[in-house]
Amino acid sequence: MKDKFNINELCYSTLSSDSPNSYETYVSQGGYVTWKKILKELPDKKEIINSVIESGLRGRGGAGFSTGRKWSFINQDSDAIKYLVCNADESEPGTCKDRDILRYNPHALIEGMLIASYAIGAETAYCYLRGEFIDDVYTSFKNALKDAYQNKLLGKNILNTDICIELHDLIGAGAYIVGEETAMLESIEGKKGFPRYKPPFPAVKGLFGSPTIINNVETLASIPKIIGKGPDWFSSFGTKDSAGFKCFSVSGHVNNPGNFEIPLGTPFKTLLELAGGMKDGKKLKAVIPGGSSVPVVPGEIMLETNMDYESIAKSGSLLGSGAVIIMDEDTNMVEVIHRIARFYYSESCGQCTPCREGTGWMFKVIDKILKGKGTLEDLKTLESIPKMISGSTICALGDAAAMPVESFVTHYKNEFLEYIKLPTEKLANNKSFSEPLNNEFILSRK
Amino acid sequence: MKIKINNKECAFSQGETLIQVADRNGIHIPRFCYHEKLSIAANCRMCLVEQVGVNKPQPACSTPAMENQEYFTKSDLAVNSQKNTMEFLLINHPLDCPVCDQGGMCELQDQALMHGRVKSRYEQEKRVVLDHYIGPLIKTNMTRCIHCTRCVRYGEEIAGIKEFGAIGRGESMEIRTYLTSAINSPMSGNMIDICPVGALNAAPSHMKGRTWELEEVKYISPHDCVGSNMNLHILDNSIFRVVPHENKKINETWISDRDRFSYEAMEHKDRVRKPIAKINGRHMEVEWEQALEIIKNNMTDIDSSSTAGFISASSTVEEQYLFQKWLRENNIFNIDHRVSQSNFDYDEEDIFPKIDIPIKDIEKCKSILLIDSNITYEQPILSHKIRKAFLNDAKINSIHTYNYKNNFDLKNSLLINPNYLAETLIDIIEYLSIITVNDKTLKKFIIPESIKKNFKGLTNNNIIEVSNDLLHSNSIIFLGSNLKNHPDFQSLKILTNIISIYTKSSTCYLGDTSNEAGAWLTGCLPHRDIGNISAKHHGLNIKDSIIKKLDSYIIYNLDLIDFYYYSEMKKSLESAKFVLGFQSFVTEEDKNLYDVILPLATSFESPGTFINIEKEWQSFAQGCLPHFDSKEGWKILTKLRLESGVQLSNSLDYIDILNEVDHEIRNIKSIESNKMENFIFDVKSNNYLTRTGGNYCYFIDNITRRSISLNTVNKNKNLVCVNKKTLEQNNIDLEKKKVILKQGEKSLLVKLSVDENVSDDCIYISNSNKEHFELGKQYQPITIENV
Repeated sequence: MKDKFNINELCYSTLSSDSPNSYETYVSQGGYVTWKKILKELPDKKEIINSVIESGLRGRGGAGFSTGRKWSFINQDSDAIKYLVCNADESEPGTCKDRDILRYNPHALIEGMLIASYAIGAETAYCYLRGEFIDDVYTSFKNALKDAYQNKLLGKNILNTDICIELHDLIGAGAYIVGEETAMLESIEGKKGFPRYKPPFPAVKGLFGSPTIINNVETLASIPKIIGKGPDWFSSFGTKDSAGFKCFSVSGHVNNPGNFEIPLGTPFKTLLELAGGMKDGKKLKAVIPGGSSVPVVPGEIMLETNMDYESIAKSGSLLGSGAVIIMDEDTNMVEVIHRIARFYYSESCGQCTPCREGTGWMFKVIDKILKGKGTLEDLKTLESIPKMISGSTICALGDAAAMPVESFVTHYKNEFLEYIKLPTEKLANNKSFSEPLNNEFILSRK
Repeated sequence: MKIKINNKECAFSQGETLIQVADRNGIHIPRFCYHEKLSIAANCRMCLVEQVGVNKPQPACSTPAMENQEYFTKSDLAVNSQKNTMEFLLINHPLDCPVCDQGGMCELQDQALMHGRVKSRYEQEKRVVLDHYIGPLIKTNMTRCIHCTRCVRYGEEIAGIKEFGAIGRGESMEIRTYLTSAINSPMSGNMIDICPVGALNAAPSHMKGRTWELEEVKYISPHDCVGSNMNLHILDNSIFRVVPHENKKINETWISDRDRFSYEAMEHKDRVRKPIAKINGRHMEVEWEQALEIIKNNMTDIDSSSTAGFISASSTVEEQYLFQKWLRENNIFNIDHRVSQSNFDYDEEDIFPKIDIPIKDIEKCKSILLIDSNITYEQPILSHKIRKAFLNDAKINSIHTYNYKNNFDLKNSLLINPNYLAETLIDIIEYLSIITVNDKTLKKFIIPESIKKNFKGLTNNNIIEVSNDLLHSNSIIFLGSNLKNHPDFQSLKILTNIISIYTKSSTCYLGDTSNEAGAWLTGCLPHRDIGNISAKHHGLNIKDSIIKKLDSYIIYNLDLIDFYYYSEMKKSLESAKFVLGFQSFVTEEDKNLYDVILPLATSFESPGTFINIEKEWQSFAQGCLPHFDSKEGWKILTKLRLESGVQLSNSLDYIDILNEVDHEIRNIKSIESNKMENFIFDVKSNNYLTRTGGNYCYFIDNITRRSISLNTVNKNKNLVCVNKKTLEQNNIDLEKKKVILKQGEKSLLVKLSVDENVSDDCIYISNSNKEHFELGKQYQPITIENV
């Protein structure tokens, strides 16, 4: 790993420019050169897939599965229509990295999607954006797509070759669950966003029953430079198993929250410094390192951890989507988990039993504890529910809802106990109880 | 290939899921969302089992069996997962089993007993779901719903009419109709059976009894021509409810709503409770002995050549056999059952309702032609088979007089005026005769000249496409049962037969009752004796019997509106000297036309046999004892035979009669071929405004039309439909919702609906109430006027 690095070298490389999202800026930085080269030389598809495997690029959406290997699951010999879907339904609380790629460097994504489509043999690609992106993000991507079409970089017989790739943008309606890849496929097909059971996996039977590859925005936006500069360039950054760069969205009690693209394996301390350090010089209490669905890590452990898949796993959590939520010493952990549990209660799709019933149950128990009415029995129940949910649902939302609750109760059990043992005092001191608890969303749902 | 489940070695074939392998080997895995006839949803998570080497529990319903894998369904991991799912399901499920219809036959209740906790850990408020009205057949109690989506998948996949959906997300997800409306599918009742909990209940039996008090009796559908198998559930000697009985060859595990809910008619006010006789000009209830005495006296007096007997084609084989036997023994030969038929040309070559291939093979057909058949509503089970063929990429074409709603898509849909139906079939024959000119097997076949002279050169591409599709191997033609009323009915049958010869396709002549084949085979016809052989003494057919105003009539199990010649029939009965009825039901008005009415047990209350279009004999036991003072038909008829002095060799058991019929029919080779030798076809140019439309699917016989719930399903059933063009041509004011219809001297004020599904120059009237029958006949001229 290199000792010195510049931030924002890959997906955010256009940020330094005046008009980062323009076609001209992207081209001036060497954009679309790789795509044009591919169109000229028409390399073997397997070659491109092998380069991606060699680069060690792992899916940036959260699961961290090797991108090249995912592509290699497509049966190249079959005549079936194949699809590429870009997952731009970035809904994980805390995450905003894809939004800035779409907003400031949309051409990298388009070029990445074109290369990926070529590599898997897809002639149709969809970019599915979350409903809340409807304003500037969607406009920025749409304009970029228009520019790319105008420059004849996609469409029918691109640059007089036999290659035809159509890229469609789609905007969702704001359901968290559609970020799950198979739920997204259902949504694209015009159905309700319910995840599908696997197997069959999308690479075998995906969109409209055809083989489909689904990748995250950041993953696809990294592709042009990996192919252009070669897999070795990419793997020279990061660690052995976590190669390359990763965008981290730092939020919470820091002075300078924002997106930072740094090589994987960078110490958490460095990232915290980049984000301007703790607000008001307070002590770090806890960090959620990968978006709201991963387990919380106590601050002291986090300060010794590097930002790569393996190190974070060792500290008891997951890198996830790279949304680093920082909490200082004054944070009320029961309130935090109350808020997170409410999110999953509201976003569970309702398809399978454990998640549909369990998310609500967890929220209701936490709510009871927070209102000062909890008992030790409730805490015991709360400890057991996540274990009952995790691993027994169709998609990962069940686990996503279970993991934070489990970790909060494990690491900050004393805070829950305080609520249970000293309800009246706590009630008097806590300002959130001076007003009635915000239950409007439950009422509106009924 | 082999897997191990609970250490037991089980063979499986590629593509099978674990639950299928386990079911076959008698290993029970609990489930709610999985149903063998529906697609896999894997959403209830009840069937989680352990797969050795995989740390997460796997759902047995969606996990494909993998060579040499080991599974455990009762290990700690599996049982704990199942227990967890049960706990989750029960937190929002109301524990109201004591007042729930499903209690005692509830899958959730059984599982709760096995895996449930004694006390719930959930203390918060339970979910309550508002019930929306979904029609008179299904009572919802959606608070009990566990979101297994079986009903939603059933609608999409089996019924083919997507009416139910899952609305909302997460805990507030609700199963309901998208808009608040009644369910319209003719097979909707099956959702009650597949619902694993008490969310969907049969409305007519809602809260009226408990499952463990019921007695089950196997029964055969009295309304469809395929003989769906079902079970009667009897409570206190009356039918509590009807559920399907699996028969892989016919109805699989489904039955139509008509079969499920028609039993309600049994207690209808029209039910004949005691024998009724006209004494000194007044109708009064009498005892059986007295009624039989009156009949005996009259039977000796009457002129047997001026007497006719009509029997319903919904009666059992035994009744039909004894009926014609009794009449023929009394030298009465004017016997008929074809009450809804209008045309009796080419009587000798007639073919009765039949299907050339087994019912279960319809789904394998590659091309299907429907000729004016509203099959989805009239024969839902056959329609289900056609839907399966459709899902299997069969090409389905239809020639019809109204764009009927189907649960499959049509490739070509030809909407034509009923007067041109025969000409359309001739067009097809014309094309086929050209295209098959090189087919040596057809050399011997010569088209009758009278058809040939109507060849006029083809212009219609749809006709060519329909004909070409039929030329594919494995095709079948369905001739709708409504056409019985058509003036060209016999010609249409023969033309259909010619098409089938050219295309080597199978044919199916649909019946509109449960036992029409039985009526033919038992010789309930003026020209055919038992076994469908030519009768020694030919009698008058039903049309002549009615029009010639005979002295006496004997009517068995028929309402007057069952007769095509309804008004003529009424006049003939008024002038007849003696009218005897064997009736389960009689309206107050019709009662006056009879001299004696004997209370007849319905087929629910009598043992019997129905023969379906496949000629499958299906016998059933007595569901419950006859209600009121009614008696089983076979008993009454045997008694009458004895009274008329016949010596019966057998003992007088029901089973002996069945054996006798069976013996007599099976040894005779019946006439079935359609010879066409004397066939002369003449085109009638009818340019008048024509009345079309068949019998409303819940108004086909004396039972269904008295079932209250069924007849409240469709609010629009009484509407008269006309297309816009026809209305404009007849100068009808579209603003006014009502019009006057006139047929002959009769007129009727009706509500009008503008409907482009009706062909030009036609007025579509579904025969759904008595006024429609009284107005006049189908396929006859009609006029329409402003109010």
